[in-house]
Amino acid sequence: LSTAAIRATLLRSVVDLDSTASPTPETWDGWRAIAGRERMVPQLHDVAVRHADQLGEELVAEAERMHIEVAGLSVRLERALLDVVGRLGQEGIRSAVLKGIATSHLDHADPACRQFGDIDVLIDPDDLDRARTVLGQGGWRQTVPLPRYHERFEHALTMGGVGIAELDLHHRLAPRALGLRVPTPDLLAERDEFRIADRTVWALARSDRLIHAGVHAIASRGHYRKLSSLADVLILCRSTSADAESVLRRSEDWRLRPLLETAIHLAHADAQMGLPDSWSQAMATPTKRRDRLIERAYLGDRRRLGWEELAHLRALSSWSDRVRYAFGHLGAESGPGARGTVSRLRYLRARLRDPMRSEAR
Amino acid sequence: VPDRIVADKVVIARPDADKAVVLCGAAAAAWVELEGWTTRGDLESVLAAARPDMRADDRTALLADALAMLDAEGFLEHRSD
Repeated sequence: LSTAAIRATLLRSVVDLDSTASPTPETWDGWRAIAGRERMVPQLHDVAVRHADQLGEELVAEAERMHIEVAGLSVRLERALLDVVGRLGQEGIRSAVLKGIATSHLDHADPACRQFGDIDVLIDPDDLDRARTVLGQGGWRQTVPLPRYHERFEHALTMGGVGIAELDLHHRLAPRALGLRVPTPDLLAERDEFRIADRTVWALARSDRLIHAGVHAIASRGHYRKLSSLADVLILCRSTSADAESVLRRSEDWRLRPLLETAIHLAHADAQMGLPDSWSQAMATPTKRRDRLIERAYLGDRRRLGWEELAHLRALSSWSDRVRYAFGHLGAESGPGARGTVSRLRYLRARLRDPMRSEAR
Repeated sequence: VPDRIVADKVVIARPDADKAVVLCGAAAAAWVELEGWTTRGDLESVLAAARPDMRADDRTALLADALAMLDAEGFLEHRSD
Protein backbone atom coordinates (compact mmCIF):
# COMPACT_ATOMS: atom_id res chain seq x y z
CA LEU A 1 0.00 0.00 0.00
CA SER A 2 1.59 3.28 -1.08
CA THR A 3 1.83 6.52 0.86
CA ALA A 4 0.23 8.25 -2.14
CA ALA A 5 -2.85 6.02 -1.89
CA ILE A 6 -3.21 6.74 1.85
CA ARG A 7 -2.83 10.48 1.28
CA ALA A 8 -5.39 10.38 -1.53
CA THR A 9 -7.89 8.49 0.60
CA LEU A 10 -7.53 10.92 3.51
CA LEU A 11 -7.91 13.92 1.21
CA ARG A 12 -10.91 12.44 -0.61
CA SER A 13 -12.62 11.90 2.73
CA VAL A 14 -12.70 15.70 3.13
CA VAL A 15 -14.95 16.02 0.09
CA ASP A 16 -16.84 12.81 0.86
CA LEU A 17 -15.43 10.80 -2.04
CA ASP A 18 -14.75 7.06 -2.11
CA SER A 19 -11.45 5.73 -0.84
CA THR A 20 -8.60 4.83 -3.16
CA ALA A 21 -7.24 2.46 -0.50
CA SER A 22 -8.62 0.57 2.47
CA PRO A 23 -6.93 0.35 5.86
CA THR A 24 -6.32 -3.10 7.30
CA PRO A 25 -4.89 -4.14 10.66
CA GLU A 26 -1.60 -4.88 8.89
CA THR A 27 -1.33 -1.39 7.32
CA TRP A 28 -2.89 0.56 10.23
CA ASP A 29 0.39 1.84 11.67
CA GLY A 30 1.19 3.54 8.36
CA TRP A 31 -2.24 5.18 8.21
CA ARG A 32 -1.98 6.39 11.77
CA ALA A 33 1.51 7.84 11.23
CA ILE A 34 0.54 9.72 8.05
CA ALA A 35 -2.72 11.07 9.50
CA GLY A 36 -0.96 12.27 12.67
CA ARG A 37 1.89 13.92 10.79
CA GLU A 38 -0.39 15.56 8.22
CA ARG A 39 -3.06 16.78 10.68
CA MET A 40 -5.66 14.50 9.14
CA VAL A 41 -6.79 12.54 12.22
CA PRO A 42 -10.51 13.38 11.71
CA GLN A 43 -10.26 11.91 8.22
CA LEU A 44 -8.50 8.82 9.60
CA HIS A 45 -11.46 8.33 11.93
CA ASP A 46 -13.89 8.74 9.03
CA VAL A 47 -11.99 6.22 6.88
CA ALA A 48 -11.79 3.79 9.82
CA VAL A 49 -15.57 3.94 10.32
CA ARG A 50 -16.15 3.41 6.59
CA HIS A 51 -13.93 0.32 6.64
CA ALA A 52 -14.90 -0.93 10.10
CA ASP A 53 -15.66 -4.45 8.80
CA GLN A 54 -12.09 -5.18 7.79
CA LEU A 55 -10.42 -3.01 10.43
CA GLY A 56 -12.17 -4.33 13.52
CA GLU A 57 -13.76 -2.58 16.51
CA GLU A 58 -10.54 -2.04 18.42
CA LEU A 59 -8.83 0.02 15.71
CA VAL A 60 -11.98 2.02 14.98
CA ALA A 61 -12.14 2.84 18.69
CA GLU A 62 -8.47 3.86 18.59
CA ALA A 63 -9.20 6.22 15.68
CA GLU A 64 -12.09 7.68 17.66
CA ARG A 65 -9.85 8.21 20.70
CA MET A 66 -7.30 10.02 18.49
CA HIS A 67 -10.08 12.19 17.08
CA ILE A 68 -11.37 13.04 20.56
CA GLU A 69 -7.85 14.06 21.60
CA VAL A 70 -7.63 16.34 18.54
CA ALA A 71 -11.08 17.78 19.34
CA GLY A 72 -9.93 18.45 22.91
CA LEU A 73 -7.00 20.50 21.65
CA SER A 74 -9.29 22.33 19.19
CA VAL A 75 -11.73 23.50 21.85
CA ARG A 76 -8.91 24.58 24.15
CA LEU A 77 -7.36 26.63 21.35
CA GLU A 78 -10.74 28.15 20.50
CA ARG A 79 -11.24 29.11 24.13
CA ALA A 80 -7.92 30.95 23.97
CA LEU A 81 -8.88 32.47 20.61
CA LEU A 82 -12.04 33.96 22.10
CA ASP A 83 -9.87 35.67 24.70
CA VAL A 84 -7.60 37.07 21.96
CA VAL A 85 -10.33 38.39 19.65
CA GLY A 86 -12.28 39.71 22.65
CA ARG A 87 -9.29 41.77 23.81
CA LEU A 88 -8.57 43.02 20.28
CA GLY A 89 -12.24 43.91 19.78
CA GLN A 90 -12.39 45.87 23.03
CA GLU A 91 -9.48 47.95 21.78
CA GLY A 92 -11.23 48.52 18.43
CA ILE A 93 -8.67 46.44 16.54
CA ARG A 94 -10.08 44.65 13.50
CA SER A 95 -8.99 41.04 13.17
CA ALA A 96 -9.49 38.00 10.98
CA VAL A 97 -8.94 34.42 12.11
CA LEU A 98 -6.77 32.53 9.61
CA LYS A 99 -6.34 28.92 8.53
CA GLY A 100 -7.64 25.94 10.46
CA ILE A 101 -9.93 27.55 13.02
CA ALA A 102 -11.64 29.62 10.32
CA THR A 103 -11.92 26.90 7.68
CA SER A 104 -13.12 24.34 10.24
CA HIS A 105 -16.21 26.46 10.92
CA LEU A 106 -16.80 28.02 7.52
CA ASP A 107 -15.73 25.46 4.93
CA HIS A 108 -15.62 21.92 6.28
CA ALA A 109 -18.74 19.81 6.66
CA ASP A 110 -18.36 19.93 10.44
CA PRO A 111 -15.87 21.87 12.61
CA ALA A 112 -14.67 18.53 14.01
CA CYS A 113 -13.40 17.61 10.51
CA ARG A 114 -10.45 20.05 10.53
CA GLN A 115 -7.45 19.50 12.76
CA PHE A 116 -5.24 22.43 13.73
CA GLY A 117 -2.44 23.04 16.19
CA ASP A 118 -2.30 26.77 16.87
CA ILE A 119 -4.13 30.08 16.60
CA ASP A 120 -3.56 32.42 13.67
CA VAL A 121 -5.03 35.91 13.75
CA LEU A 122 -4.44 38.70 11.22
CA ILE A 123 -4.46 42.38 12.20
CA ASP A 124 -3.47 45.58 10.43
CA PRO A 125 0.28 46.32 10.68
CA ASP A 126 -0.58 49.74 12.12
CA ASP A 127 -2.31 48.01 15.07
CA LEU A 128 0.62 45.76 15.98
CA ASP A 129 1.92 47.73 18.96
CA ARG A 130 -1.54 48.31 20.42
CA ALA A 131 -2.39 44.63 19.92
CA ARG A 132 0.77 43.51 21.69
CA THR A 133 -0.02 45.79 24.62
CA VAL A 134 -3.62 44.70 25.02
CA LEU A 135 -2.72 41.02 24.64
CA GLY A 136 0.10 41.46 27.13
CA GLN A 137 -2.48 42.57 29.68
CA GLY A 138 -4.08 39.16 29.23
CA GLY A 139 -0.82 37.29 29.80
CA TRP A 140 0.21 36.81 26.16
CA ARG A 141 3.97 37.16 25.70
CA GLN A 142 6.18 37.10 22.63
CA THR A 143 7.91 33.71 22.71
CA VAL A 144 10.20 34.00 19.70
CA PRO A 145 12.28 37.16 20.06
CA LEU A 146 13.25 38.89 16.84
CA PRO A 147 16.10 41.29 16.04
CA ARG A 148 15.07 44.81 16.94
CA TYR A 149 14.65 46.03 13.39
CA HIS A 150 13.31 42.78 11.99
CA GLU A 151 9.89 42.72 13.54
CA ARG A 152 8.11 44.75 10.91
CA PHE A 153 9.73 42.69 8.16
CA GLU A 154 8.37 39.44 9.57
CA HIS A 155 4.79 38.50 8.79
CA ALA A 156 3.85 37.40 12.32
CA LEU A 157 4.79 37.49 15.98
CA THR A 158 4.67 34.22 17.88
CA MET A 159 3.06 34.57 21.31
CA GLY A 160 2.32 32.22 24.19
CA GLY A 161 2.04 32.17 27.94
CA VAL A 162 -1.69 31.44 28.14
CA GLY A 163 -2.17 27.70 28.68
CA ILE A 164 -0.99 25.49 25.87
CA ALA A 165 -2.00 27.86 23.10
CA GLU A 166 0.49 29.29 20.63
CA LEU A 167 -0.72 32.43 18.92
CA ASP A 168 0.68 33.66 15.64
CA LEU A 169 -0.30 37.29 15.47
CA HIS A 170 -0.03 38.06 11.76
CA HIS A 171 0.23 41.54 10.36
CA ARG A 172 0.75 40.14 6.90
CA LEU A 173 -0.74 37.07 5.28
CA ALA A 174 2.43 35.22 4.35
CA PRO A 175 6.20 35.40 4.83
CA ARG A 176 8.58 37.76 3.06
CA ALA A 177 7.73 38.95 -0.47
CA LEU A 178 4.50 36.93 -0.50
CA GLY A 179 3.14 38.93 2.42
CA LEU A 180 4.31 42.24 1.01
CA ARG A 181 2.38 41.54 -2.19
CA VAL A 182 -0.96 41.33 -0.33
CA PRO A 183 -2.12 44.55 1.37
CA THR A 184 -3.51 43.57 4.77
CA PRO A 185 -6.14 46.39 4.79
CA ASP A 186 -7.64 44.91 1.59
CA LEU A 187 -8.06 41.58 3.38
CA LEU A 188 -9.62 43.13 6.46
CA ALA A 189 -12.02 45.21 4.36
CA GLU A 190 -13.95 42.11 3.23
CA ARG A 191 -14.44 39.54 5.95
CA ASP A 192 -16.78 36.64 6.62
CA GLU A 193 -18.22 36.18 10.08
CA PHE A 194 -18.79 32.97 11.98
CA ARG A 195 -19.68 32.04 15.52
CA ILE A 196 -17.83 30.15 18.22
CA ALA A 197 -19.70 29.53 21.46
CA ASP A 198 -22.25 32.20 20.58
CA ARG A 199 -19.59 34.83 19.96
CA THR A 200 -19.03 36.47 16.58
CA VAL A 201 -15.58 35.99 15.11
CA TRP A 202 -14.23 37.18 11.75
CA ALA A 203 -12.34 35.38 9.02
CA LEU A 204 -11.02 36.27 5.58
CA ALA A 205 -13.55 36.31 2.75
CA ARG A 206 -13.93 32.92 1.06
CA SER A 207 -11.87 33.72 -2.04
CA ASP A 208 -9.07 35.08 0.18
CA ARG A 209 -9.23 31.93 2.32
CA LEU A 210 -8.53 29.91 -0.82
CA ILE A 211 -5.68 32.17 -1.94
CA HIS A 212 -4.17 32.02 1.54
CA ALA A 213 -4.51 28.23 1.80
CA GLY A 214 -2.84 27.87 -1.61
CA VAL A 215 0.00 30.28 -0.91
CA HIS A 216 0.57 28.77 2.53
CA ALA A 217 0.73 25.25 1.07
CA ILE A 218 3.27 26.33 -1.56
CA ALA A 219 5.41 28.43 0.79
CA SER A 220 5.60 25.54 3.29
CA ARG A 221 8.09 22.89 2.27
CA GLY A 222 8.98 19.40 3.39
CA HIS A 223 7.31 18.28 6.60
CA TYR A 224 5.92 21.77 7.17
CA ARG A 225 3.52 21.31 4.24
CA LYS A 226 0.54 19.58 5.84
CA LEU A 227 -2.13 17.68 3.98
CA SER A 228 -4.66 19.67 6.02
CA SER A 229 -3.66 22.81 4.06
CA LEU A 230 -4.22 20.99 0.78
CA ALA A 231 -7.56 19.79 2.16
CA ASP A 232 -8.54 23.44 2.61
CA VAL A 233 -7.50 24.15 -1.00
CA LEU A 234 -9.57 21.21 -2.24
CA ILE A 235 -12.69 22.09 -0.32
CA LEU A 236 -12.48 25.83 -1.09
CA CYS A 237 -11.97 25.10 -4.80
CA ARG A 238 -15.34 23.40 -4.78
CA SER A 239 -17.15 26.14 -2.92
CA THR A 240 -15.67 28.90 -5.12
CA SER A 241 -15.98 27.05 -8.41
CA ALA A 242 -18.56 29.56 -9.72
CA ASP A 243 -16.11 32.37 -8.93
CA ALA A 244 -12.95 30.74 -10.25
CA GLU A 245 -12.19 33.57 -12.67
CA SER A 246 -12.55 36.32 -10.08
CA VAL A 247 -10.45 34.41 -7.52
CA LEU A 248 -7.68 33.99 -10.09
CA ARG A 249 -7.97 37.66 -11.02
CA ARG A 250 -7.56 38.71 -7.37
CA SER A 251 -4.54 36.45 -6.95
CA GLU A 252 -3.11 37.87 -10.17
CA ASP A 253 -3.54 41.42 -8.85
CA TRP A 254 -1.18 40.32 -6.08
CA ARG A 255 1.12 38.49 -8.54
CA LEU A 256 0.41 35.22 -6.74
CA ARG A 257 -1.73 33.45 -9.34
CA PRO A 258 0.97 30.92 -10.39
CA LEU A 259 1.34 29.85 -6.73
CA LEU A 260 -2.40 29.43 -6.31
CA GLU A 261 -2.69 27.45 -9.54
CA THR A 262 0.19 25.20 -8.48
CA ALA A 263 -1.47 24.57 -5.11
CA ILE A 264 -4.78 23.71 -6.79
CA HIS A 265 -3.06 21.27 -9.15
CA LEU A 266 -1.11 19.77 -6.24
CA ALA A 267 -4.21 19.26 -4.07
CA HIS A 268 -6.15 17.57 -6.86
CA ALA A 269 -3.18 15.42 -7.88
CA ASP A 270 -2.65 14.34 -4.26
CA ALA A 271 -6.36 13.47 -4.00
CA GLN A 272 -6.16 11.67 -7.37
CA MET A 273 -9.00 13.83 -8.65
CA GLY A 274 -9.47 15.82 -11.84
CA LEU A 275 -9.79 19.60 -11.71
CA PRO A 276 -13.35 20.95 -11.70
CA ASP A 277 -14.30 22.21 -15.20
CA SER A 278 -14.77 25.79 -14.05
CA TRP A 279 -11.23 25.88 -12.67
CA SER A 280 -9.73 24.26 -15.79
CA GLN A 281 -11.46 26.86 -17.94
CA ALA A 282 -10.43 29.77 -15.72
CA MET A 283 -6.82 28.57 -15.64
CA ALA A 284 -6.74 28.35 -19.44
CA THR A 285 -6.58 32.14 -19.65
CA PRO A 286 -2.94 33.23 -19.56
CA THR A 287 -1.42 35.01 -16.58
CA LYS A 288 -0.42 38.52 -17.63
CA ARG A 289 0.77 40.11 -14.41
CA ARG A 290 3.36 38.08 -12.55
CA ASP A 291 6.47 38.32 -10.39
CA ARG A 292 9.13 36.08 -11.92
CA LEU A 293 11.38 36.42 -8.87
CA ILE A 294 8.66 35.11 -6.56
CA GLU A 295 7.96 32.25 -8.96
CA ARG A 296 11.65 31.36 -9.12
CA ALA A 297 11.86 31.49 -5.33
CA TYR A 298 8.76 29.45 -4.49
CA LEU A 299 7.86 27.20 -7.42
CA GLY A 300 11.03 25.13 -7.73
CA ASP A 301 11.43 21.52 -6.67
CA ARG A 302 13.37 22.55 -3.60
CA ARG A 303 13.61 25.57 -1.36
CA ARG A 304 15.66 28.45 -2.76
CA LEU A 305 16.41 30.68 0.19
CA GLY A 306 18.66 33.03 -1.79
CA TRP A 307 15.89 33.73 -4.28
CA GLU A 308 13.39 34.19 -1.45
CA GLU A 309 15.65 36.80 0.13
CA LEU A 310 16.14 38.54 -3.22
CA ALA A 311 12.40 38.60 -3.88
CA HIS A 312 11.85 39.96 -0.38
CA LEU A 313 14.51 42.66 -0.70
CA ARG A 314 13.06 43.78 -4.01
CA ALA A 315 9.52 43.88 -2.62
CA LEU A 316 10.54 46.16 0.27
CA SER A 317 9.42 49.71 -0.33
CA SER A 318 12.72 51.61 0.03
CA TRP A 319 16.48 51.21 0.11
CA SER A 320 16.60 52.19 3.76
CA ASP A 321 14.22 49.30 4.53
CA ARG A 322 16.41 46.95 2.54
CA VAL A 323 19.50 47.98 4.50
CA ARG A 324 17.64 47.74 7.83
CA TYR A 325 16.37 44.27 6.91
CA ALA A 326 19.77 42.98 5.76
CA PHE A 327 21.59 44.26 8.86
CA GLY A 328 18.72 43.29 11.12
CA HIS A 329 19.92 39.69 10.85
CA LEU A 330 22.80 40.65 13.09
CA GLY A 331 20.99 43.23 15.22
CA ALA A 332 20.11 43.04 18.90
CA GLU A 333 16.91 41.24 19.78
CA SER A 334 13.84 43.01 21.07
CA GLY A 335 11.17 41.80 23.45
CA PRO A 336 11.21 40.04 26.77
CA GLY A 337 13.34 37.15 25.53
CA ALA A 338 16.16 39.39 24.30
CA ARG A 339 19.56 37.78 24.70
CA GLY A 340 23.13 38.21 23.61
CA THR A 341 25.49 37.47 20.76
CA VAL A 342 25.15 33.69 20.98
CA SER A 343 21.41 33.81 20.48
CA ARG A 344 21.80 36.27 17.58
CA LEU A 345 24.10 33.82 15.87
CA ARG A 346 21.64 31.03 16.62
CA TYR A 347 18.87 33.12 15.06
CA LEU A 348 20.94 33.66 11.94
CA ARG A 349 21.90 30.00 11.73
CA ALA A 350 18.29 28.88 12.24
CA ARG A 351 17.15 31.21 9.49
CA LEU A 352 19.73 29.87 7.10
CA ARG A 353 19.37 26.20 7.99
CA ASP A 354 15.67 25.87 8.73
CA PRO A 355 13.91 29.13 7.92
CA MET A 356 10.51 27.44 7.73
CA ARG A 357 10.55 27.04 11.49
CA SER A 358 9.46 30.61 11.85
CA GLU A 359 7.49 30.89 8.63
CA ALA A 360 5.32 27.80 8.33
CA ARG A 361 3.54 28.30 11.61
CA VAL B 1 -17.95 27.28 25.46
CA PRO B 2 -16.35 25.87 22.28
CA ASP B 3 -17.39 22.30 21.51
CA ARG B 4 -16.93 19.47 19.00
CA ILE B 5 -19.12 16.46 18.34
CA VAL B 6 -17.17 13.27 17.66
CA ALA B 7 -19.29 10.17 17.05
CA ASP B 8 -21.75 10.03 19.98
CA LYS B 9 -19.56 12.12 22.26
CA VAL B 10 -19.27 15.85 22.84
CA VAL B 11 -15.91 17.45 23.60
CA ILE B 12 -16.11 20.82 25.34
CA ALA B 13 -13.65 23.32 26.73
CA ARG B 14 -13.99 23.97 30.44
CA PRO B 15 -14.99 27.59 30.96
CA ASP B 16 -12.70 28.07 33.95
CA ALA B 17 -9.56 26.18 32.94
CA ASP B 18 -7.41 25.25 29.95
CA LYS B 19 -8.85 21.74 29.82
CA ALA B 20 -11.28 19.75 27.70
CA VAL B 21 -14.07 17.50 28.97
CA VAL B 22 -15.59 14.59 27.06
CA LEU B 23 -19.32 14.06 27.54
CA CYS B 24 -20.89 10.69 26.72
CA GLY B 25 -24.40 9.24 26.72
CA ALA B 26 -27.08 11.29 28.46
CA ALA B 27 -24.71 14.18 29.20
CA ALA B 28 -23.80 14.45 25.49
CA ALA B 29 -27.46 14.35 24.44
CA ALA B 30 -28.32 16.99 27.05
CA TRP B 31 -25.44 19.20 25.91
CA VAL B 32 -26.58 19.18 22.28
CA GLU B 33 -30.06 20.19 23.40
CA LEU B 34 -28.71 22.77 25.82
CA GLU B 35 -27.03 24.79 23.07
CA GLY B 36 -30.08 27.04 23.32
CA TRP B 37 -32.26 27.65 26.39
CA THR B 38 -34.29 24.55 27.15
CA THR B 39 -36.37 22.98 29.90
CA ARG B 40 -35.96 19.78 31.86
CA GLY B 41 -39.16 18.50 30.19
CA ASP B 42 -37.66 18.99 26.72
CA LEU B 43 -34.49 17.22 27.80
CA GLU B 44 -36.52 14.26 29.10
CA SER B 45 -38.26 14.04 25.71
CA VAL B 46 -34.89 14.04 23.89
CA LEU B 47 -33.58 11.31 26.16
CA ALA B 48 -36.76 9.29 25.75
CA ALA B 49 -36.33 9.40 21.97
CA ALA B 50 -32.65 8.47 22.25
CA ARG B 51 -33.13 5.66 24.79
CA PRO B 52 -36.65 4.21 24.34
CA ASP B 53 -35.41 0.93 25.85
CA MET B 54 -34.88 2.55 29.27
CA ARG B 55 -37.48 2.78 32.01
CA ALA B 56 -38.83 6.29 32.55
CA ASP B 57 -37.59 6.39 36.16
CA ASP B 58 -34.11 5.35 35.10
CA ARG B 59 -34.07 8.01 32.38
CA THR B 60 -35.08 10.68 34.87
CA ALA B 61 -32.35 9.59 37.28
CA LEU B 62 -29.76 9.47 34.48
CA LEU B 63 -30.70 12.95 33.30
CA ALA B 64 -30.53 14.30 36.84
CA ASP B 65 -27.01 12.84 37.22
CA ALA B 66 -25.89 14.28 33.87
CA LEU B 67 -27.26 17.74 34.67
CA ALA B 68 -25.71 17.66 38.14
CA MET B 69 -22.35 16.82 36.59
CA LEU B 70 -22.62 19.63 34.00
CA ASP B 71 -23.71 22.05 36.72
CA ALA B 72 -20.82 21.07 38.98
CA GLU B 73 -18.35 21.72 36.13
CA GLY B 74 -19.80 25.19 35.55
CA PHE B 75 -21.34 24.42 32.17
CA LEU B 76 -24.94 25.31 33.04
CA GLU B 77 -26.57 28.69 33.26
CA HIS B 78 -29.95 28.82 35.05
CA ARG B 79 -32.88 30.99 34.14
CA SER B 80 -35.94 31.30 36.38
CA ASP B 81 -38.60 32.59 33.91
